[in-house]
Parts: sequence; structure tokens; C-alpha cells
Amino acid sequence: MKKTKTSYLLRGTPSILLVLGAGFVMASSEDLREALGMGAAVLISMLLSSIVVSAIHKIIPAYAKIPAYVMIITGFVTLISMLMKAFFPEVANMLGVHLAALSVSAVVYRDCEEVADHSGEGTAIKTALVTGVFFTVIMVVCALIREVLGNASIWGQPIAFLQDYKISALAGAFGGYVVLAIVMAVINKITGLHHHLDENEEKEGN
Amino acid sequence: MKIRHFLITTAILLVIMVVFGAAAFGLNFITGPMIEANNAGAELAPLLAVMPEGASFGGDALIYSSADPSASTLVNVPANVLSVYKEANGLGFAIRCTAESSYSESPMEITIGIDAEGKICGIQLDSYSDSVDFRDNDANYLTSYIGKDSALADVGTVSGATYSSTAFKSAVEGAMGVLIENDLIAAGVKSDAQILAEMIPSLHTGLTSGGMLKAEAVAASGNIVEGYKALNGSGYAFIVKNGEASYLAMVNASGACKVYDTTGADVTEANVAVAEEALAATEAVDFSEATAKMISAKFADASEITPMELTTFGNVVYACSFKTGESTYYAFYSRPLTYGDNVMEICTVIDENGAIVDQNVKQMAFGEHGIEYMPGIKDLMDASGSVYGEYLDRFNGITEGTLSDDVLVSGATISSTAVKLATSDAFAAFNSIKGGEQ
Repeated sequence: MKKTKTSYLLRGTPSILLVLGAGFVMASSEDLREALGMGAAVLISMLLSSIVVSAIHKIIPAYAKIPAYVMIITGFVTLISMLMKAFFPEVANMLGVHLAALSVSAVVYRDCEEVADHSGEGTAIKTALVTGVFFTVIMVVCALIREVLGNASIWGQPIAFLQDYKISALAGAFGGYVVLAIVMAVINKITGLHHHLDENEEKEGN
Repeated sequence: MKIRHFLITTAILLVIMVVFGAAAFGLNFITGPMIEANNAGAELAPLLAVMPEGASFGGDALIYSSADPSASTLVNVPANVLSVYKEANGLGFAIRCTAESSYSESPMEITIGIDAEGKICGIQLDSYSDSVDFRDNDANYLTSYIGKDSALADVGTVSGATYSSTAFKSAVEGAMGVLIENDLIAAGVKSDAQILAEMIPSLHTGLTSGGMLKAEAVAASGNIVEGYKALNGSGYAFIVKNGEASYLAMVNASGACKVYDTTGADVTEANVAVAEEALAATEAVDFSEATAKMISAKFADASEITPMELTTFGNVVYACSFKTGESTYYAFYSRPLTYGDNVMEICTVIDENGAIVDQNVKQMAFGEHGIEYMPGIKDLMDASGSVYGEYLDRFNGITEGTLSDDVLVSGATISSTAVKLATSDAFAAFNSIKGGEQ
């Protein structure tokens, strides 16, 4: 498939994202605040990394790209982590080590390596935004299901009438993957749209 | 990799590192103090929450930390006390401690605020993972501690979450004990009724489970100021006023009564009126039919079933002797409480020599309650709901001297501990009867 602006934007479609970010979605979607925090961290780190990578990709030799891009992502994640600990300490505590692990996230790296490295700042920014927003939305959807049904709470506030009906397993790691699988199945069903777009893209390319 | 590639890669990484290092260095001027303040605030937040407004915990506030006990001057601090803080303006103390019950997935974390007069001014649970939340069963349980001194007068336990609330209460008592032990606050004085009520578990095991009082309240009347009726029919306990003094009157399932004073001395003979008043407040329950049924399950030819008076105070609610052929046996019907305060029925048959010849247990682990059988016990149950398997065979031939923890079942500790306690009570009743015969 020929790479066009549209196809770059489609890199952010959830069906692909979910597989790459499964660990993060599972680990950080137990609570809505946590999910929004992680979503924001991914979005900002991806956006900033993409801008820098797209700006300097021509002067970085091919053999130095992997360590250089990882270093750039790590740098931005470190700065974001400092800001979150200062301004959103509760969310930073909830995210814990997963925030630092974002440095080696395949979701962010893939965006830098596959998009920003091959295109200008404009496309890189758009792609990062689309991917980041999709990722955040998926996190929020998973978190809503897990927090409401698993913890019988929302935004940390207990929901009184659900207390006797909560499915605690959903709040744990197992439940995280179950919810992820369900969301993924729904998205795969819906993203007939994605495949249609891909096919159209291909036709246009030809 | 060529040396040139290596050097270029290293140089690029160094440049990136320097750029981000400088950015982090600059950003740290803004975020560093904020992060430090956040961390300090998070540590002190539970302390401030349990102290009066205006409380502050400065640099020397921490007077004990379990991380470094040798640095503290406090002595005799229990292991479950994590830290003790002294409020800077003399408003009192804040203590962080843990409590654990047999239903705790992980220890509860508790913060207690104690004012300068030794009264609890605030208390909160920082973490709680017991299977039943006592705050759900009694929303006012935590607030019942507010204003209480170390005597914790009128602070009880929560029905349906007895183990958890007892562990919580014990932790609070232990934490306050640290301050009393180290002369930082004065000890509260317990009322006579409180002292007598605390004696019940050690004097009448039938009113307890796991060492905790398990009874329903009986309304006060006449000189009776407090009354407790065993959940398993094993008797009653009453706090009875007689003039200025208060007494504890215990009644067993046979209607025997003993009276104790606040020192724990048996003063029954000198307080016959107290005993009579206590007995008048009880209702007799007949367990003869239930016992006969359990005896006949194993001894179909049992004859001359003769009831015997119980003089012990435990889980045995009925005793009798019976004959099969030429042999005489003694049957002790016990009703100890098990998991979830459910009653088990146990019939222990002992021969003339004091050795068990049969042990029958019904309703072990909730057969009648539609709840899952406990692990370990389930396999021992037969279709009739009685246990005749390997587990009960362990009791055959056991005497009071050889009863040991070998009869406990891993994974069904509460139920098998209750069976062991009932067996022990049966031996005590047997000795009492045999002593009376001699």
C-alpha cells in the first residue's frame, strides 16, 4: 500500500493500537482518572516526540535512529512524569511505574519511527493527535466499564446501588484483559470502516 | 559496526541527553518543591484528618517509627504500631497502626487521633480488605470511638463482622496502650460492667467463638443491667447489680448458675439472690430429642438414655448416659459456632474410661444454609449430611490427654477448631459428671 497522509492518519486506528498498547490499557484502565492520565501522557509524549523526530529525522543517520528516538521519547516521558507528579500527584501515584514504562511504549515509538520519520511536521502532528485521541478514548471506555462494573464507583466515588453487584474480577489484571478483548472485538466489528478506507486508499494509489 | 558509526551514534545520544538533561534540570526548579510538598502532604494527610483543626506536625513530630524503633524513647510498642506522632501545639498524638483478622486479605491500616486528655478525637481506616466491611454493617461504628478514653466504654463489635471489628478494636486498644505505657496520657477507668463483660469469653466458652463474645442482647430488667443469650443455646450471662456491687451471673444449658465478682472470684454461695434473678430471666431449651437422634445414628440399640446435669459452662448443651449391651456410654451434645456464626451439632460419645468411641457432626460447614461446603470438609461429608469419614475416625480412642491439633483440618480451620473446642468441652463435662459420681 502506498503511504499517503490518510494512511498515516489511519495508523492510529484502535484495532492496531489496542494490540500494541494492550499492557498499558490493562494496567492503567482500572480507574477513569488513571485512564485519562495515561491517555494524556501518551498523547503529549507522542505529539512532542513526533514533532522533534520529524524535524530532525533527516540529520540522524539510519543506524542511530532507534536509540536516538528511544532517547527522545524517554526524555519527554521524564519531563511529563515530573509535571504530573507536581500538578497531578494523585494520578501520578495511581499510574506508578507504568508512567515511566511509557518510555519504551511501542505505541509511541511506532508513531515516531513509522510516521514522523517519513513525513513533515504537519502530518506527524495530525497522526500523533489522531493516535493519541484514539488511545485515550479506548482507555476511557475500558476504564468506564472496569470502574463502574468492577469497583462500583466512578471517578473514585462509590456508586451506592451497585455495591452489591460489582464484579471485582473486572478490576484486576484478568478483568483488564477481558474488557480489552471485548472492546477490541467491538472495534474490529465497527472498523469495517477502517478496511473500507484502506481499500479506497489502495484504489486511489493505483 | 564501524567505529565511525559508533562515535556518531554516541555523539547524537549525548546531545539528546544534554538537551533533555538541561530541560529536566530547569523544570526541576519548578516541580521539585511541589513534588516534595505533595509527598509531605500525602504522608501527613491521614494524621491531620484525625486531629482537630489547626493541628500541625513539624520536624520532631515523629516520636516512634517501626522502621527504626531504637531511635525512639518509647518502650513496649507492639509490632502492629507503625508510627507515633506528637502534635506540635500539644493537641495530642496521632498513631498509625495495623490490624489483621482471619478474614483480612491484607492488614487494615488505621490512623487514630488522641487528644491531650487521652480521648480519641478522630479515627479512620486508611485501607481495608477484609471480606466483610464492618462499616457496611454498622455505619456508625467508627464514630462510636470518638470521645472515648482507653477504657472504650460502650464500644462493642459489629455483628456479622465480629472478627474484623474485634481486630480493629484490639488494635486501637494496643495503640492507646503505647501512650499509657509511656506516661503520655492517663489510662481510662473501666466500669464494673465493662470488666465483668470482658470476663465472659474466658468463663463461658459457649457464648463465644474464636474467643469473641457471640450472643444476642437480653433486655435489662430488675437488677439485671446487661444480659447476653448464647446464639447456640448454651446458656446466658448477666451483669446483675446487688447494692453497690455488680456481679456476673452465668447460666448453662442445664440451668446451673455461677456468680462472679469483678475480681473473677466465684461468689455464688454469697449471692444466691443474684443467681435466682438470673435464672428467672432464662428460658430452658430441650435438646434431648436431638441428642437421642444423633446417638441412634450410630448406636441403634441404645437404651436407658438417662439425662445428666451439666455443671460446666461451654458448648455442651445436653449430656446423658446410655447403654448398649453391657456397656455404658456418655453422650455430650454440643452446638459450637462455626464460619458465619452457623451452629454445628456434634455428638461426642465417651466410654467409661474417658475415651471417645464415636464422634458425629451434623451441619458442618453450612449444609443447611445453601452455602458452599468449606474446602477439606466437603469430601468428608456423606449424602445424609453427617460426617462418618476419615475425619471423624481421627477422634476414635482420643482421650482428654491425647486431644491435639491433629484433629484440625487445613482449609477448614474455623469449623475444625470449633469441633475440637466442642470435644474439649465434652471432656470437661465428662470429668465433671464422673467427679460428681465419685
